[in-house]
Amino acid sequence: MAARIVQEFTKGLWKEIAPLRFALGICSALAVSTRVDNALGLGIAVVFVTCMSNVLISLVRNLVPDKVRIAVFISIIATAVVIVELVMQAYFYPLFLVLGIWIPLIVVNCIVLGRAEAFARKNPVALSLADGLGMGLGFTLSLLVIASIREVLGSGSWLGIAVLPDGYPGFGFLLRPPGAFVIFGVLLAAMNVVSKRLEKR
Amino acid sequence: MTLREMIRMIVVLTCVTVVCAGSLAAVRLATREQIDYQQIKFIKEPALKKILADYENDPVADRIQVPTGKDARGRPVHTTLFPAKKGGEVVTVVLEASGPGYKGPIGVMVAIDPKNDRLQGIAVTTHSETPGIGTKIIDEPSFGAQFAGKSLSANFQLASAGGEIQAISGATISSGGVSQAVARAVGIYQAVKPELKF
Repeated sequence: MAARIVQEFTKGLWKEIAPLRFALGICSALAVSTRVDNALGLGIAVVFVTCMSNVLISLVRNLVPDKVRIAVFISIIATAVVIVELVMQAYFYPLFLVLGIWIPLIVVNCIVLGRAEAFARKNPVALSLADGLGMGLGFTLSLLVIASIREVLGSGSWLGIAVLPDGYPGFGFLLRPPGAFVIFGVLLAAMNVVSKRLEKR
Repeated sequence: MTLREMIRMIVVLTCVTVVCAGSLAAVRLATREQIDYQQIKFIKEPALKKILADYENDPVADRIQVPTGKDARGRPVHTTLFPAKKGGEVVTVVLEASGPGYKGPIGVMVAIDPKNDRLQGIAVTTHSETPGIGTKIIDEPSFGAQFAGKSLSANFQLASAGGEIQAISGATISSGGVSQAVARAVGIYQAVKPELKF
């Protein structure tokens, strides 16, 4: 069982990392990845939502009739998201101002409903929690990688700390939406190359 | 689909949504005060810092709400007062009021010294005045500075209307909006002053 839990957790970090393998949830991922701190904020919010929704959906999985399952899942997910929004507003107000519309939009992030539908409704609570945690952290990890590249090359800083010399002019293109797609595409290609090499071994 | 199945679907969906709504209401109740505090802190505190020089408490946490009349639909309107304390004593009371500007209301924070009934300073918080013209009410510090030290019984109208405030030339309407906002804030303060206990 323990091995199974570890396996369900780690698959979300590399083998099935949602944004970079399946291009899931990239709408918000690309929108907030101009700065590392924002990416971290959204990532933590998503981790909380995937964990909470997976656990709750796994708990009620034998009670919910198939025909109304999507309505039940969405209610649970929306509740988790609003809780995140209220808590963020109460204790991390500046972050709330920056992330703004992207927090309520976690409801329709396909990673969350996808994990509910594909995993949590068929598996016990412990495995679902591991899956939710892994998938959420995988999302956070992808966001951090994209945001690190964009922030370092785009504005010459990382987590708000200047890392490139003062005279660095800033690669403004990367901070705009098209830049996000370019970085995302390069990362996808790199992931595929690395994976193929690993498989050949 | 049997009747049993249908009833089961309705019961499950109802239970889930009721539990969801209940937990949201609970979280909302638990976070409401903190959210109000954060909103006031991040929106009002920069203006507060501008007009308050010397204080030791957190005026946002110590804020008090006083009823000040009713709106058009009969609901009570509250004004928030921010007391600034030093050595345990209230040295300044800050409140916000608005006056009509050129394109919309001008919000002004007014700092009042409650012991001597004098103004300590003012700061414009929100406005939609014309950049470069109406915004002189902010950009020309000498305009706002005239209010400091004035007694609460002073006539806050513009000099052209017989008052004590010199308007900025070219920005008379905006200047008038500010002076009206100050007069309103002073009016509110004097109306609620007998009820204030610090």
